[in-house]
Amino acid sequence: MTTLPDSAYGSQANVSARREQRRQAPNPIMAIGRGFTWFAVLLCLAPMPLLLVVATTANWPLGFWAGGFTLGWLREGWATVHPYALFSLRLALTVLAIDLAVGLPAAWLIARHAFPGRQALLALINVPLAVPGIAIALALILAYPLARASGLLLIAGQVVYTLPFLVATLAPALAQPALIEREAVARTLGASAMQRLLYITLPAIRSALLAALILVFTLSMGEFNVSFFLFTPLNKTLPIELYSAYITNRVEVAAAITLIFLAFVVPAAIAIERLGGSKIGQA
Amino acid sequence: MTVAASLAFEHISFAYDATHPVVHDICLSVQPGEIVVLVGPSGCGKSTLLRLTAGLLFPTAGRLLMDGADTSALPPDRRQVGWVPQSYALFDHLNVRDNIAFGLRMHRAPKQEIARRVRDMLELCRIAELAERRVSQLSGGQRQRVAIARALAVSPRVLLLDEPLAALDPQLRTAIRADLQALLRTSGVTTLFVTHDQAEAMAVADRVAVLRAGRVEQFDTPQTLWRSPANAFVAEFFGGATVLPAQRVSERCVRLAPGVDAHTTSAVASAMCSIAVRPGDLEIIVQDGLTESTGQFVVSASEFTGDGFKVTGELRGAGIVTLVHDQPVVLGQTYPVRVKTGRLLSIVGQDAHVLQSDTSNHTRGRRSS
Repeated sequence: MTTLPDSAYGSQANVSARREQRRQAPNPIMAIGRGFTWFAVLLCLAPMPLLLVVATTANWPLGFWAGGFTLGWLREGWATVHPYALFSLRLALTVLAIDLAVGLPAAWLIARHAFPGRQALLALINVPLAVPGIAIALALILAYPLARASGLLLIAGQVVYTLPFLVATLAPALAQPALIEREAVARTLGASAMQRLLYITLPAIRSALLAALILVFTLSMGEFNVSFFLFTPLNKTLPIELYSAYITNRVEVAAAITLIFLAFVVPAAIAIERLGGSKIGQA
Repeated sequence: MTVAASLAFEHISFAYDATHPVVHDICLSVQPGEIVVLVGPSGCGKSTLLRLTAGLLFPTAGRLLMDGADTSALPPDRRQVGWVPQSYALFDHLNVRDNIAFGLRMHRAPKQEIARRVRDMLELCRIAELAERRVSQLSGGQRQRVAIARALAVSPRVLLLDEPLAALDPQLRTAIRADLQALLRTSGVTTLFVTHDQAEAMAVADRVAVLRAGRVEQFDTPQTLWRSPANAFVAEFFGGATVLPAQRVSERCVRLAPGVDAHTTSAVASAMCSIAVRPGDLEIIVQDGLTESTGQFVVSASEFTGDGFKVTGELRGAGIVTLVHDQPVVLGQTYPVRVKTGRLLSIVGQDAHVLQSDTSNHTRGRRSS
């Protein structure tokens, strides 16, 4: 671009002249729009620092840092939720493993083969996107009443809920004609099916795969609807415990627990955004 | 360097569904080390033939022989065939060296052999200085060389090139074509080369197969295709000719139109025949006006080509033809024309040798295998 003549992009003088013009005559609609945007951002982000304040205030009902700054609530919160946080972590990893084992082959089938029933399979996988989590949970309870106590239904419910997102992220990556052609070349070069998967397919879809895995992890960690109907005292997830804390505890502890929860979920959400953001998880 | 194999298509047909064959009853035989160009318009089945050879598709009928052995049912990873698709399909997560080494690694070749072989390929394709580059840092011509080096590294028995020059800038194409041909000759590999460009076909090929709608129209050397096209399609597509009906005047002379007689490359067999007329064959007569003894040419279009003008118009009593003239002409005006002195025109679809050459080559190929 540096080799282009000035006239193509406007000389430096032109650019600053245009800037000057803009400063003199601000577009009122743009100004209002910008105002609303900042207001919305503030509205969305304000609870975050507030949570931090509440969680570190000794006696919140009396105001900001009333009774002094304390880490006691955070300690108490962690003591309350850490078994559930660890359970949620284990559950998320289990769901991740099952999703991967089922979803990767399913995405591959959908992306690569025009078999009878392909559309039906795609629709079936996407059903949970449209069905409320409560309905999924109730359907599972009605169908498999005995499995609930073991905690298997909780796993099943979360798998059903998260699988569509994994498949919807992987299938387009696997369907790229350029990737299919590269695999074909690898095949003529003597690569076996496993070698093609390891050395061509997985490297090519690595960002989509990583994004899908983080997405499933975040969804599982934060899932409430399905889990609320399927949890048992021994199989209780972090969001469910968060809810109980709000109902039964002081507001400071609830805030502390929420901060702990965010510490699990926010880094994953940021990672998804960096890996391709809005493209991910769309059917 | 590579172990060149002979290749034979025996009545190969392929169809995705029974009513629409993509290729039909293809018979071709390729000698070891030969460069055969498959040329034809889009959708004629030429890329399908490459995929059939690579084993990415399997024929619905017929057999594919490599060195005389039936390989029709072998999967691609066991065929030892190097396939370079039009996009080159380089592995963009690997650098140039690892792209070239890929096939050898898949075959679990010893480390030292891989290193030696990759070095040879980098040298053969003159890309040694690019070895550590990422694929995204390469130009189109460099990508092509990497793709060919990657295919040749595993010593394929046949190399398949699908429109290898189509992705390149037109200005570079001629130079890279010459380089590519030199590379193929040096490596000595049996090559099937697909293109839709007849100039490319003529420049590169030992023999050319002209395809149309999934069938081989003619399979012979470029010179034979040019001089003795088997039918009007070959003459028009491969030779860039206009095919006109003509009357026999004598054994070696035909009349294209009143006042336009032409000498032929071979003896005229029947009272009427088809003649391939190329832009260089006719000329506008500058000195004389229109007379009884010259053809009449009514100009309908004229393109400036730098050297002169490419003029299209109607040769009265014959049809639309194109000729080259060094002066501007007036649209709609009638000019006197004749066949250039000493010019021999090809008779289309008459030469018995042409019609049979496909079969005779076929048997020759089998005997040698």
